[in-house]
Amino acid sequence: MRVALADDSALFRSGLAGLLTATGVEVTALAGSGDELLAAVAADLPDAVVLDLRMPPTYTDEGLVVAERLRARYAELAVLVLSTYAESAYAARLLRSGARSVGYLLKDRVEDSAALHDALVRVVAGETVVDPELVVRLLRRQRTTSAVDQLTAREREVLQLMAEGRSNARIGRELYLSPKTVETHIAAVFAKLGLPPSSDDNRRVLAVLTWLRAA
Amino acid sequence: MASGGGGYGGGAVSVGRLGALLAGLVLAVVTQWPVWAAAPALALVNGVGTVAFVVTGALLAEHRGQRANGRLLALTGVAWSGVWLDAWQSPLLSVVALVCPALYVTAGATVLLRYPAARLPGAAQRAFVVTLFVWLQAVFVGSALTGGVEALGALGGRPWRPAPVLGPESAAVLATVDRVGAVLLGTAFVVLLARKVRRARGLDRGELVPVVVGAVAAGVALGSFRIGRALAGSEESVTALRLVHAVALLAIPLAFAAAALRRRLERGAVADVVVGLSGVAPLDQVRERLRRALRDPGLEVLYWVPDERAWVGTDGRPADEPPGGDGRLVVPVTAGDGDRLALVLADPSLRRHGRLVEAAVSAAGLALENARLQAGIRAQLEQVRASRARIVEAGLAERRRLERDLHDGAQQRLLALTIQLGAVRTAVADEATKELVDAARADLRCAVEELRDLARGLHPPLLGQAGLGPALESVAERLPLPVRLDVPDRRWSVAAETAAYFLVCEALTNAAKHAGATSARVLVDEAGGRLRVEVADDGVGGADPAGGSGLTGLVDRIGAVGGALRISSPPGAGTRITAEIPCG
Repeated sequence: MRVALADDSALFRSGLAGLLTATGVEVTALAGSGDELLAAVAADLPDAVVLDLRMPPTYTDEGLVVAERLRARYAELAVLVLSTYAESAYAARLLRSGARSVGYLLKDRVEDSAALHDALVRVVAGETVVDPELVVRLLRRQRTTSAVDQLTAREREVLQLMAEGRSNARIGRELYLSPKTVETHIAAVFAKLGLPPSSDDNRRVLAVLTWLRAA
Repeated sequence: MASGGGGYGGGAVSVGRLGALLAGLVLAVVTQWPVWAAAPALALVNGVGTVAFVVTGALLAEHRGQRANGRLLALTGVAWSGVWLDAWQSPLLSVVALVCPALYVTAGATVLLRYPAARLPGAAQRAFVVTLFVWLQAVFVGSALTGGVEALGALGGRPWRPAPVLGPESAAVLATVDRVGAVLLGTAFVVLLARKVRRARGLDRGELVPVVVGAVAAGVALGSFRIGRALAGSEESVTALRLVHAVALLAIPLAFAAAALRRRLERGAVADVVVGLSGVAPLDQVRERLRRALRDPGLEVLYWVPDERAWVGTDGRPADEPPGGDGRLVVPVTAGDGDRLALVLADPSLRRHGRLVEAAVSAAGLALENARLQAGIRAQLEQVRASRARIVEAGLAERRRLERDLHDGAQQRLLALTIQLGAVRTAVADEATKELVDAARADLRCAVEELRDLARGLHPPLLGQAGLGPALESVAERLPLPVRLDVPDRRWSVAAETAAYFLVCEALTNAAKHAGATSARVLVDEAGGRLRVEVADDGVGGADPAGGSGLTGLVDRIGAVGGALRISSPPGAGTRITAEIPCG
C-alpha cells in the first residue's frame, strides 16, 4: 500500500512515517501543508493520503478543504483525516462529500499502529471509517433520549459498529455472528430508529451518523 | 446711536431715532409740497412712505451687522421722495429727480437681495444690481432727452425738460428697451429671491419670509405701474396707478418691521428654554431644547470633563477633533464658579444671531451645569466599558494563542512520543520492560487527553471555524444530559459568538454538575442587533449569582461586551439564564 502524508508538525510527520513504514506501508510523500500534498499527489498518485485537519495557511479546516479537493479530483484515492479534536460536525462534513473511501480519526489513534493500519486498509478497500470515540459519545447522548433505549444491547453494539463504518461481514466477525443474524439486527435497528433501509454500507454510515447527531 | 440690544426699539426714544423721524418728515414735506396741490392722497401716501423708509432704515442700522442695510433702506426712502422734486418745475431739482428712480429701485433691490447679510452673496447678484441701475438710468435719461416726462409725468403742470436732442424714432427704441428690460430684470429678481430663500436656514429663514413677501409685493407693484402707465389713457388713471404703487411700496418698510417682530418672538422661544430646563434635564434633552430654540437641528453640546481633561459629547464619547475646526460657531459656556463648562457648536449662519445664541445658552446654563455632571459620569462609564471590553478581548486573544501553542507544540510532541513508545514496545522482547512501556503509554494517553480537554476549553477551534451552532452542538454531545439546541445557522461578530458560547458552556456545566438537571434547552435568536441567548434546565434551582460561583464570572463577562444577564433560579423550579449581547 502506498500512502502520502501531510502534517505541519515535522516531528509528528516523521514519527507517523516511521510507524507506517514499520507496518509495511510505503510512504510516497511527506507534505507540510495542503498545497504540498496536492502537488505530491499530482506528481505520484498513492493509494491513500493521511492528512491533518488543521494545517497552514488557515489553521482552521484546511485538511477538510484539501480532502474535498482530492476526492473531487481522484475518485479512487482513499482519504484519512486525522483530527486533534473529534468533532461530529467535521466528520459529517467530510462524509457529506461522499462516504466511500474516507475516514475521520482522532490523532491519538497513532498510539495503536495496528488500528491505524487497519483503518488505512479499510478506506483503501472503499469502506468508511469514523472514530469510535466520536460514535461512543454520540451514542451515549442518544441513550439519554428514548429511541436508543428501545434497542437491545446487541442491537446497540451493531449500531455502534455501523456508525464506525464497518461492513456487515466485519460486524459479524467482531461480534461472532452469522451474516444472516447481522442482517436481522440491522433491519431491527433501522426499523426502531425509523431510518430507511440502505444496502449501501457507505451511505448507511452517513444516515446513522446524521441520526445520532440529531438530538 | 443707542444700542437696541437684539432687535429694534428697546422702547427708548434716542436722539438718533428722533433725528431720523424729523429728517423723514422734512423730506416728505419738501418733496410732496407741489404734489399736495394736484393729488393730496398721493402726496400723503408718498410722505408716509418716505418717513417709514427713513425711520425703519435708522432702526435697522442699530441692529448688529445691519448698519449698511439700514442706511441703504433709508437711502431708498430718500431717493423715492426725491423722484417728486420734478414737480417743483425747476431745472436743478428736475436733474436731481432724474437720477432718483434708478437710485431708489436699485438701492431697494440691493437691500432685499442681501439682507440679512451685509454684502451681496455673489457675482450674479452684483451683475443684476449694476444692470438694473444702468438700464433704469438709460431709460430715464433717454426719455428726458426726447423731451418726455418719464420720471414723474405732468403732475400739476409740466416739469422742466431740456430741448429735445433725440427724435421720435429714438423714443420708440427706448420704449422697447424699457419693456423688454422690465420683463427680463423682473424675472431675474424673482429667481434670485427664490434662490436666496432656498439657501437660507434656521433662524435666518424665519426672518427672511416677511422681507421676501414685501419684496415680491413691491416688485409686482412697480411692474404693474410701468405696464399700466403705458396702457393708461388719462392723466387721472395714471395718478391712481401712482397711488397704488406708492401704497405697495410701503410693504418694504412693513416687511422689515415684521422681521424685527419675528426676532423678538425667537427671543420668546429662548425664554421657553429656561422654563423647560429648570430641573435636572437629561443630556440629550438639553441639546434638543437648544436645537429647537435656535432652529439648528445639527447643534451639538460638548461638555468639559476635568478628570479626563477632554471635551465629551452627549453620548459620553470624547470629541474627535478640536471643536470648531469645521467653521461652526463655537459658544463657550462657563460654570457659576468661572470654570469652563461646555461648548455649544452651532451652524455658522447663527453667527449673526450671536446675542440670541448667547441668551439661549446662558438660559440653559444651570441645566448645562447639571448635564456636565451627567456627561462626566457617562464618560467614566464609557471608559470603564471600553477598558472592560479591552480586557475581555485581550483575555480571549490570549486563550486563542494558548490553544494554538498547545495544539502546535505540546500536543504534537506528545503524539510523536506516543509513536516512539509504540516503536519501543514492538522492539523490546523483555516482558518486564514491555509492562513498563505499557504503563508509560497509558500515562501518556491520559496526558494527551487532559491536554486536549484543556486546550478545547480555552478556545474551541470549531467556534471560529464553523460558528456558534456547531460549536454548541459539540458541547452538548459531550454532556451527560440531553440538550435541545435551537440556534440559527448564521454567524455573528467574534465577540458576540464567543460571549454566547462561554455563557452556554458555563450554564450547561452548572446544570449538569450542580443542579442535577435531567435535561436542558438552549435558545439563541437575534432581534434588533442583539443576540438573545437563553439556557433553561429542570434542575434544583436556587443558583445565586452573588455566591461567588461561575455565575459571577458570567455576569462580568456579558457586561464587558455591553450585554445584560438575567438569572431566574427559584429553589426547586429549575434555572433560566437569559442574556442579551450586542452583535451588530
